[in-house]
Amino acid sequence: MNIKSQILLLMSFLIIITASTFSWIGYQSSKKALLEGIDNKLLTAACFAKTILSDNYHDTLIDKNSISPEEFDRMVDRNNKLCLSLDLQYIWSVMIVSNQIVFTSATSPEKDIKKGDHARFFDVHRNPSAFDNVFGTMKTDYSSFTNEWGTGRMVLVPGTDKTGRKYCFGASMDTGNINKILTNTMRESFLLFLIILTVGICTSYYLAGVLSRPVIKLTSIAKKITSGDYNQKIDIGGGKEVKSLSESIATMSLAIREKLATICESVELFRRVFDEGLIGVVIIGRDLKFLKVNPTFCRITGYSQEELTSMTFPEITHPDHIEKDSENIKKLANGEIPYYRTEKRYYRKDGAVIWVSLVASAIRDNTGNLLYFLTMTEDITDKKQLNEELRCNEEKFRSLFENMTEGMTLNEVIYDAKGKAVNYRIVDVNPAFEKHTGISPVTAKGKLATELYGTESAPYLPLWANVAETGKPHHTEIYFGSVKRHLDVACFSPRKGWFATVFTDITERVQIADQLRQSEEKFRSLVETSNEWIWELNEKGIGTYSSPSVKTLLGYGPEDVIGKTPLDFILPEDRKEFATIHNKIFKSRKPFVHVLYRCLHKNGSIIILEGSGVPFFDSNGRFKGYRGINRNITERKRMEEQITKLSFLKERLIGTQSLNEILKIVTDGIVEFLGADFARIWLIEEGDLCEKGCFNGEFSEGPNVCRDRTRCLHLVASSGRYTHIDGNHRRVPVGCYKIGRVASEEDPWFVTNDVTNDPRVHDHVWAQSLGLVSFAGFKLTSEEGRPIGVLALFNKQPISSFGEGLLKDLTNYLSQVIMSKKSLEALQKSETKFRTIFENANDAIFLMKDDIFVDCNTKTLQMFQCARDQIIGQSPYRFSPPLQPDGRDSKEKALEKINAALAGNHQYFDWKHCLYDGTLFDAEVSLNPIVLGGNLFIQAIVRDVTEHKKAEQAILELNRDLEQRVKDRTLRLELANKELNAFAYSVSHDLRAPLRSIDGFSKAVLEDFSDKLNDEGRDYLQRLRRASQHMAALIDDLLKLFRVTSSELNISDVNLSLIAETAITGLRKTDHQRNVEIIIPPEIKIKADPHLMLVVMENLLGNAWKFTSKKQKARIELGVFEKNKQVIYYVRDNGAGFDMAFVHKLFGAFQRLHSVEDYPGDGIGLASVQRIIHRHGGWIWAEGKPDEGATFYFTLDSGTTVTKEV
Amino acid sequence: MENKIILLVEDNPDDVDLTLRAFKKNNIANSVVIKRDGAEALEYLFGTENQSPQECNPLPAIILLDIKLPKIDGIEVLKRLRANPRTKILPVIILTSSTQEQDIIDSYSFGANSYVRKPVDFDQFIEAVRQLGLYWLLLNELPPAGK
Repeated sequence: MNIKSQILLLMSFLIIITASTFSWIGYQSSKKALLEGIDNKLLTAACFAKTILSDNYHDTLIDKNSISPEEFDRMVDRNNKLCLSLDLQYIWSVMIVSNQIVFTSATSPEKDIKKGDHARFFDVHRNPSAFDNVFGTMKTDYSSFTNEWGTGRMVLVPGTDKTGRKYCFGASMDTGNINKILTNTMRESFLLFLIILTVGICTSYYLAGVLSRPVIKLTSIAKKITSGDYNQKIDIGGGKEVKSLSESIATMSLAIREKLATICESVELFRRVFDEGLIGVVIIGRDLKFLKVNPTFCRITGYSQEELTSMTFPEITHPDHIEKDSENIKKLANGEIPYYRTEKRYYRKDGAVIWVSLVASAIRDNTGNLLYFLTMTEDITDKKQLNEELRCNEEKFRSLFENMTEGMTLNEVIYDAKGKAVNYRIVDVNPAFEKHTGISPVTAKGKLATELYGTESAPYLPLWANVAETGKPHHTEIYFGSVKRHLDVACFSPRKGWFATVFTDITERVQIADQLRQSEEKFRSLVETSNEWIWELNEKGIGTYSSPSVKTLLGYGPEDVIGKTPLDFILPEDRKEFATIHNKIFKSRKPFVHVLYRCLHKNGSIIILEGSGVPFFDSNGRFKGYRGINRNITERKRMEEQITKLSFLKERLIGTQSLNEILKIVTDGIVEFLGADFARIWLIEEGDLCEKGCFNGEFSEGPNVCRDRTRCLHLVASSGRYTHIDGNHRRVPVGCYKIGRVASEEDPWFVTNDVTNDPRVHDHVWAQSLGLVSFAGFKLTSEEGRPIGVLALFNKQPISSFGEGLLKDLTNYLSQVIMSKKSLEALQKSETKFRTIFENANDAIFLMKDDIFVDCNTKTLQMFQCARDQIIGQSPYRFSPPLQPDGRDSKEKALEKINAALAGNHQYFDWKHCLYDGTLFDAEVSLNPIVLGGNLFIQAIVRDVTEHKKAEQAILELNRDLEQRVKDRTLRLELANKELNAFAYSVSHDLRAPLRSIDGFSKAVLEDFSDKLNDEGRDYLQRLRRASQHMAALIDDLLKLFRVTSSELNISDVNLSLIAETAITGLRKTDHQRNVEIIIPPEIKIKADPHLMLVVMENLLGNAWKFTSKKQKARIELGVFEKNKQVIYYVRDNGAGFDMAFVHKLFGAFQRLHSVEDYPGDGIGLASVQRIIHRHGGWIWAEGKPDEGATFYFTLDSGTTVTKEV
Repeated sequence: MENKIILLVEDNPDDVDLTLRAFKKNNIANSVVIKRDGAEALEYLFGTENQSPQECNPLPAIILLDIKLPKIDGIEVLKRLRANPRTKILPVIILTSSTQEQDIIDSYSFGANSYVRKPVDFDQFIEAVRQLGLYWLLLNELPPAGK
C-alpha cells in the first residue's frame, strides 16, 4: 500500500467518525428539547385541571351519585376544550375509593364517545397499575406509554383529600406527532453526515497527492544513486523538511563520490605497502597456510614467496608462541576478538631467531563467513635486543638499590621562578632508608623534604642543591635533626638538578664516641678532685704527673712536684732509709702497696703518707716508670694513738672500786687524751622526785620545762676547766636543756662543732669567751636502753667523726661499768631492805636445811619464847606436840610437808605448835623452797592464829545464821514465784476457756437462730463476741507483761544497733509503702539480755513508727550520748508526741494517751519496756510535745545521776 | 475418711460442743469419741487391766488432747501414749487454751504431732480445725492399724 492510499484511508476514517458523531449529537439534543416542552405542557395542563375544580372537590365525593351527570358533563366539556386548545389527548383525575381507582373527572373526545368508550364519573380505571408509581411516591410522575389509547406521554400530579384519600390529576398527549418530527430531524442529520463525508474525502485525496509527491521523487533519485548514478540533479519543491532532506541526499551523493576516489587511492597505497613497504603483509588461509606474502615478509623470514606459500604459519613460529598463537587464531576465527597484537619469535630460513611484532585480523565476506586472516609483521629484533639490555641494567641497578645496606634517596631539586633552589622532592628511596631513618619508603616517596621532615626549610638544601648543580660529589657526617640520627652521607648528582644520597646511620658510633669522651672527662675529674694524691714517675724516678690534691697534702702545687723526685719531700732523717726502699722498688719493677713514709709539709709539719704504685711499660714492654697513689694517714695514725690511750683508760677503770672514782677517771681521761676543755658526767637517780630547788624546775612551758618530774640528772663527775660537782648544773631535769634532752629519748646523742651558734647551747657568749667550739653529749643507757645518765664535754677543737666514734665507744663501755656497779649497789641495798623486813616481820620466819632450822628472825624468838641458840639446830617437831589435831604423828607429818616443799610444791597448812615450854598454840605454816648460794633451803613462815581462829569462829556462826535466813527467804520467794507462775498459767488457760464459750456460743446462736433474732439481738451477740475477744487480747498482754517481768535475765554483749535494725526490718514488712527516715548509728555495744532488748526496741521503735504514721516526713532516730559519766540511749521521733502533763501515765500498764481509733494499741508496750529497763538496773523517761514528737531516754546500768525520772 | 475415729479428750463441755461444732462446720463427719479426763482416755485406748489388747477399742485415727485435764493431765497422757508401742506413732494434736511456752515445749518434746491453741475467736477456731482436718485426716497417710 503506498503512502497516498494510507493517508486517504486514515482521513476517511477520521471524517466518518466526526460526521456520525455530529449527526448523533444533533439528533439527541433536538429530541430532548422536544420532550421537555411536552412535559411542561402536560404539567401545566394537569395543574390547570386541578385549579379549575374547587379545592375541596375530592372531599365531597363519596359515590357515583356525589355529583350530578350534568355537572360531570360540564367538567368533561371544560376538559375537552382545554385538550383541544393545548393539543392534548386527555385530562382527567382519579381517586382511590375502596381500593379501586375511579375517575373523578375526564375528557371524552368525540372519537371515544362514538366508540362508546369514554369514561364516566366513578368508572373504575382499567389500568390501575399505571398509578402504582404516583401513589407509591406521592410525587409528580412523568411516563411514556403505548396502550389502547395510542402512544403518548402523561403526567400525574398526586394529592390527598381531607380524609386522607389519595387522588391525582393526569394529563396525556399523543406523541405520534412527535415521532414524525423526530424522523425529520434524523433525516437532516444523515444529510449533514453525507455532505461532511463527501467534502472530507475529496480534500483528503488532494492532500495525499501533494504530500507524497516529493517523497516518491526522492525515492527514485535515491534508487538511482544506489545504482551508481551519482550525477543526479535534485530540485524538489515542498516543505522545509522535504527541502532539507533533498539537500542531505545531494550532499550524500557528493560525499560518496569523494569517498570512492579516496578508496581508489587507498587501494593503490595498500598495493604499494604490500609490495614495497617495510611491513610484512601476509594472508593466511583458514588452514593456516600462507596464501599470499609480500616481498617484505620474505625478506624478514628469508624465504621466497614460493617457499612460503607451501608452508603453514606455525611452521616458522618459535615453539614458545605456538600455543598462544593457536588460541588467538581460534578466538579470531570465532569472532570473539576483532584482531590481536603480539610480539613473537620466528625462525628464519637460516635458522636465526627473529623477534617480530604482529597484528592479525580476520577478513570475512558480506555474510560474515571467514575468508582468510591478514597479518602485518614487523621485524623488531634489534629493538628487542636493545630493550633486553636496558632491562638487565635496570634490574641490576634496581637490585643494588633495593638490597644495599646503605640508605639511598633520589631527589629532585625544586627551583623557584628565579632559578633558586627552594626545596627538593624525594623521588625514590630504597628499603634500607627505613632502617636508617625510621621512615617507611611508602611515606617518603614523592614527598617534599619540608613536608616529610616537617621542617620549615628543606634540610641541607644548600649543600645538596650545590651537588645537583655542579655535579661535584660531597661526603659528610651530619646530624639529621628531623629523624634524630647521625648520618654518614655521600651525595652525588645523577643528572643536573637531581641528587642522590647514600647514607648510613652512625648514631650509635657517635654516641659511643661521646660516651667515651664523657667517661674520660669523668675519670679525669675524679683524679683531679680526689683527695688522694695521684702521681706518675718516669723510669728515672722524676715526677711527670701529679694530681692537684698534692696541694692539700703537702702544701705544694703539682707544678712544684713535677720534675722533682719523691726524695725531695721526705723528712730529712728518713731520707736514707727511703732511698733504699725506693731503689729496691724501682729495681724490682713490681707493684707495691701501703708503703709508709713521712714527708715534710710546706708549713713544716710532718705528714705521714701511705703509698701504693704499679709500674707501667710502653708498647714494646720497656719500663717507663711508676704510677701510684698516696694517702695522708697522719690523722689515722693520731687516732690509733688515741685508741691505744683509751684502751689504757679502760684498763684503769677495771681496777677501781667506787663508781664516783670510776667516773672521775673517765672525765679526767677525756680531758687528758681527747684534749677536751672540760668533761662531765650526770647520773639519773631513780625515784628522785623533782622538788623545789631543782634546776629550772620552775619552767612551766617551752623546751626547758621538766618533762619527767620523777627523774633528775645528778652531776657526779667533772674534770678539766670545772671540777666541782655542785652549783647550777648539779641537777638537770630529764628532757630539759641540752643535757636533759640527751638523756630523754629524743636525742640519743648530740654533737656540734659550732657551739657559739647552735640554738641548743643556751649561753653562746660564755662559750665564745672561753673559745669553745664543740660540744658532745652522749646518753648512758642500761642494757634495755633505759637512760641512766649523760656524758658531756666541751672542746676548743672540732670533734671529728673519729673522735665521736671513740666517745660513743667509751660511752657504751661506761654504761656497762655503771650498770654493773649500780646493780651491785642495788643488791647491797636490797639485802639491807630484806634483812630489815625479815627481822621486823610479824610472822616467825625460819630458814631450814632439810628439817633443821639454820636461821630465824627476831619474831620467831618472841613467838616461841626462847633464845636464838635454843632454836637454831633444832627441828620443827621439837616445837610441836607429839600428835596433831587430826591424830597424825607431828614428826611424820612435818617431814611429809617438808619433803613436798623440797620437791617444789608450796605448802600451806594449819599446824599445832607449842612454845619452848610446851604451851600449845594454833598456827598457819607456809613452806617454800628457796635456793641460796646454790643450796636448797626451806623457808618457813609461821603465823600465830590463835586470835584469828577465835574471830573466824564468830564469823562462821554469824554466817550460818545469815545463810539460814537467806534460805528461808529464798524458799518463800520461790513459793511466791511458783504461785505467781501457777496464777499466770491459770490466767492463760482457765480465764480463756469461758471467753471461748461466750464467743463460740454467741456465734452458734448467730448462725443457728439468726432468724429468731431481730437486728438488736444480733448486735448484742456481736458485742458479746467482740468483748470476749478483747478480753482475750487483754489476757495475752497481761501474760506478756508478766513474762517480761519473770523471765530469767541472760546478760551478754549485745549490739543494740543490730537489734534496732532487726526491729525496723520487721516494721517495714508491715508497711512497705511508708517512707521513714531511720537513723541508727552502727555498733552501739551494750551488756544486756538480747531477747528483752529486742522487746524494748520493738516497742520503742514500734511506737515511733506508729505515732509518725500521719507525718509526711517521718523521722526515727536511735542515739546515744554521755552525760555526767552516764551513758544514755534514746529513741526519738517527730510523730504525734504527747502532752508532758500526762507523762506520768505513759509507763502504766493499759494506760493510753491516744485514742485507739487514732493509733491502735493495747497500752502494754511501754509498761513492758519500763519493766525490762528496770530489770537491767536502768531508768527510762520520756519527753514530748504534742504534734512535735517524743523522745524516750533510757540507761542500762543503775544510773547515778539521772536528771529526770518518771 | 468416715471410718476413722477422732478421739477428743476435753473436760470442758462447752469446748467439746464447740469443737464438735467446728468439725460439723468443716464437714468432718468422722465419728468422734469424747473422753472427759486423762484417765478415761487412757482406759479407752488401753482398756482396763482385765482386758487384752484385742478386746480394746479400735484405735482412733487422731487424738485431740487438751493439756489441762482432771486426774491425769494431757502431757502425762501423751507420755504414756508414746511409751506404748501400740500408740507410739498415733497422731496426737494438743488442743489447748494455754500459750505457756513450757506447755508448747513439753508437748513437742513428748512427741505431739501438732500444737493448736484454741483461739477465743470462734471463726479462727473453725479455721484451725479445718486445717487440722485437712492435714491429719486427708493428707497425712496414717500408719497401718494394729502394727
